[in-house]
Amino acid sequence: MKIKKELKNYSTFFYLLFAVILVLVGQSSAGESIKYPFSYLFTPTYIAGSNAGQKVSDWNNALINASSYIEEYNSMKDEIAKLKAENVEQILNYEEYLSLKQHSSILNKEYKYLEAKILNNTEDGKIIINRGSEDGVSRGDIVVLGKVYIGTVSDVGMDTSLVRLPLSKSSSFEVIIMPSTVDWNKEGKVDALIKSTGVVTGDLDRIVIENMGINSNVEEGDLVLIRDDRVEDVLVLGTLVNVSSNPASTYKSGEVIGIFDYYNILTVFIRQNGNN
Amino acid sequence: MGIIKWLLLTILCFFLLFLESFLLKVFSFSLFIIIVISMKGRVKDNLLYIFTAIFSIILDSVMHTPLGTHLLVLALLMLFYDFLNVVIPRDSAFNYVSIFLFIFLYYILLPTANSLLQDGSFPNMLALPWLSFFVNSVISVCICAVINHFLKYVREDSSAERIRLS
Repeated sequence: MKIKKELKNYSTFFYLLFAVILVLVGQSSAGESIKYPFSYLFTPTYIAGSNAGQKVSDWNNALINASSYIEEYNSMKDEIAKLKAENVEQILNYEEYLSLKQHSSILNKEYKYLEAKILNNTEDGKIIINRGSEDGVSRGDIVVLGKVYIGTVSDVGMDTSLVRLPLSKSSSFEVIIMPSTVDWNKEGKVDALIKSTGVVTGDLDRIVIENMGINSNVEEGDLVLIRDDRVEDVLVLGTLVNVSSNPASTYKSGEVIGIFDYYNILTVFIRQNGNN
Repeated sequence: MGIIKWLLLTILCFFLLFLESFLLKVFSFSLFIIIVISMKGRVKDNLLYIFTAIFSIILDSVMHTPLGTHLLVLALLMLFYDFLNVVIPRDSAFNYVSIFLFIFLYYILLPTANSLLQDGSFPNMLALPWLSFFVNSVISVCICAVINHFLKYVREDSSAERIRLS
């Protein structure tokens, strides 16, 4: 009884002794054999607990770093906006390239041309372009796209200019009417092909043509060309439509549909008279 | 009855291991050491030693530490705790200082013993997360205090009647 009590007093020492022996056994090859069954039984539980802990820890870290995630999100939004802008710029550059390519093949070599972007449209048949007096644009310059007349510069700012379209009420030109079947590359002299002359004026949403010869054989679909001193060249305006057939009238009238929808054009060319 | 008891203990071991690994991963917090210090003096020494020995081997097996690392640290700390109890009575409020030292030293000695037995060298003591050890030890002492008060409340003669009624 006394021995048992004394052993109980020293139980911690025996426990320590057992621990030391276990460590020594663990250092030998027997250690792995002892660990193996425990590892086999308990490792799945340990991994399950560890995985659950990892998930909680991840959420914890996410909450702690929430502010940095917000910053990252905002910077990514900026980056996306920048990339979108670059993409749009590429599209515009491509459109500009196509316009230049198309324009360069048919332009008149006598003149200098300045490429311009349309910034805005006004309700009274005018457009604003991104070229001004700094670029050498002056009042009266003709704005074209290939051989198609777009408008005339009516006001010049430092960096922008106002262009009066044929739709504008203050726009009027002398024109000639030609058959639409005329081949410009083959026909050397086109004067014999003129069906009639006329005058076009703008009416905001349409271009009105008047003073066509009453006996002329103009018909719908004929080509209307500007031949005016102010333009100094023969340029295409559009196609003739709605020709009047009033026998009491002394002249024929009608409407001209522009080659382009003026409000859908992005790039135009300012024809400079070679002085600039 | 004996079979049910051992079955319950086995299930408890699995559950404790799950919680231990979970808390170690989330807070680097050991539940095992709280259970050991709470059992000390409340259950028979033999039962405590068997439980700690088995669970230490389990921890060594799953955590890939050298066999006997946890047990050696626990044995040393229990010896140290017994010596402290000579100076500081177990029933006094200052016993929590002993508990704090017991747990704090566990957190320090475990990586030290692991490094010594595995690599044969001391770990870089400055690299150890001392603040985390301290905070974990303080939290563990608080949990031990709650357990102590709970057990005292349950074992009080006056409240025993109420428990039976409920």
